[in-house]
Amino acid sequence: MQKLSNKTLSDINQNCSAKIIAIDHEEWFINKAEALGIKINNIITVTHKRKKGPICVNINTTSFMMRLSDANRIKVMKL
Amino acid sequence: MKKIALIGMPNSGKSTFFNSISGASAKVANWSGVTVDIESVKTLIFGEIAELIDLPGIYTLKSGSDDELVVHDFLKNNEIDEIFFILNSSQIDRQIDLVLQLRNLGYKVRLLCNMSDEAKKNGIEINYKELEKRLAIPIHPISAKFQSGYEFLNQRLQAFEKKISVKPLVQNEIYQYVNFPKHSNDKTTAILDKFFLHHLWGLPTFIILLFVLFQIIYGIAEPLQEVMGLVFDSAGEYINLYLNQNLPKLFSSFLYDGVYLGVTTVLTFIPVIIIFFIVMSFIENSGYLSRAGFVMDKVMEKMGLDGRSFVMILFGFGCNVPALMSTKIMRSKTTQFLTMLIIPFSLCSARLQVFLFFTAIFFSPQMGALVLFFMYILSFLIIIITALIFKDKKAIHESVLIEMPPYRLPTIKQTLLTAVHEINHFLKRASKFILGGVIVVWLLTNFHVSPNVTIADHISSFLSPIFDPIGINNKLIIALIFGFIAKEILIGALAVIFSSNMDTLGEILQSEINWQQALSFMTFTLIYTPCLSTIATIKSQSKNIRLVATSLLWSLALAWIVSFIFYQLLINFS
Repeated sequence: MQKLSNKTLSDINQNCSAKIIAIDHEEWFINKAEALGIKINNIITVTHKRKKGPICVNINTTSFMMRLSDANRIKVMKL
Repeated sequence: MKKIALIGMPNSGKSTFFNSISGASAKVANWSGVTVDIESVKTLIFGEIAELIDLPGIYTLKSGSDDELVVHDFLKNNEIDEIFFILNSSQIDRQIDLVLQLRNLGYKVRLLCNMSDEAKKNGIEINYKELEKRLAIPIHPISAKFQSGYEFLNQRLQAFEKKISVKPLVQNEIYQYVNFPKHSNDKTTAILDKFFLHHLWGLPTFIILLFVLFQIIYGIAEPLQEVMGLVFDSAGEYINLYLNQNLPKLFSSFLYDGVYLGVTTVLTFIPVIIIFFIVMSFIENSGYLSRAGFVMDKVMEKMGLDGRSFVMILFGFGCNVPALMSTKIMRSKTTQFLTMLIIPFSLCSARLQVFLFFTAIFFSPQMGALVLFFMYILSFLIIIITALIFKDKKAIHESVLIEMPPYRLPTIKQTLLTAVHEINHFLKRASKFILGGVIVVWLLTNFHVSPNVTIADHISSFLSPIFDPIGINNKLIIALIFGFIAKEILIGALAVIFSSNMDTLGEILQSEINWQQALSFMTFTLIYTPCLSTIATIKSQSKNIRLVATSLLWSLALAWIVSFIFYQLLINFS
């Protein structure tokens, strides 16, 4: 069930999933992120999280790491 | 001649395909951004000789880092007959858009669905026929790793359909042609990641892995190197006897003491190189590198760097030059230049040869392995110090998105190909620098400026006030000078300077210097000015003379300071 509160990807706990609703970043990042599958409406799962460190996320069959500062700029809806 | 370009997203297996159909040896690894430059080869495709061009991976056609710009410029400035788009079948849903973008730009695109075996194993089903109809391009499922699905390459070229534009796939349309399982079948990656990416175990695991790795190299390579040394020494006795009987003394000394001893001493390290690169290739192809990048990112961020810089340091363990070239994937010049400044401190395989040789002479096998590991730790410490001093405190941290590929078991063929590639590289350097280097060393040590004073004596006595406080004697100074050209020359130069083979060189060195001096020499060798190729690469990649000068002067100064501290501590407190 979807919660109504808007959060950023950095707020999502390890092993939890969320739906991407907006990416507030530079154009090149958005392009690369889209190529990696980080698109609006896609479901993203946080697979690993380090305290104040990078996070590891998964979309479909692709996993990648991103910095917390970048995860802060991806708005999501927690599932 | 037809020009065929290999295009695809990073880490989709372009270079593996390139190597497998052409016999070339482009560097491959399970990491995004290994290929950062263009490589081409002429090979038989569709029954005729064609030029196959391997390009760096790109995510989009819009903007990108320096390596992506290489592809954009290439496409803009070259006439291409066909594009082989290599796609990772398991990621077809997100990679397919780029294929259509290229096709709709008017390129003749052939889609090679690589790792189709892996996708099938993971429960991914692709309806190739229907997808081929929808995209109006030929599609071939292949596995570059196992060289399967290559039959189409032997067929006559089929005519491409007329250049009609194809509608882009609407969101989720791809799932009409591809079935993904609800849950990933790749349990191995999930299990291994729980361990390697763990917030507590991740870093210690990496350090233990490194320690075990160098114990293996040390344990296996050392005895093999001794065998090689014995073979060359035995052959050398006969060669020396023959040369002495048939040639004038000076000429026979040049051929034996100069060329033979210098070159064969360096060649005894071939087993070390082979084993080192087999182990490195296994790690590079396994998929562990990006995990190391993840684990180290937080630490690297404090130094003004990121996880990718750490992976490049690991690449530098093999050779600093490709590691420097791979910095092209960085967008921020600040991060790129800082990474370029630290990579030369990465303990490369050429320095490893020197350390293996010295540890075998001056330390017991158990202690030798620890000293070797200490040199790697010192290499990391120097990198940290350099990064902290030179980091731009005002710089904004670069955004980082690193793909984490699944763990893969490299094939024996793949591993051996990498080892063969590195041996070729080693022998090329040997023929380029080592032979010339040892000849010059022989000339310097055999020609006199005055009775009893050789040119080498003259140079080293001029420099001795600088090197005396760090325990490096006149003969070692000459070897260090040649180490600037290529570190591989160092041991060969010592063999020529002391006119000795592998067997006797150890004994002579033990009588000339003590273990404290040996450790100081090793420390200086680790840190001082990188080889000529490294300097040339920093210059060509950065186009920044200030960075080149900083790299040269800083490494020299730091080498002296650290060696001085170690040497003085060791002789005063041991």
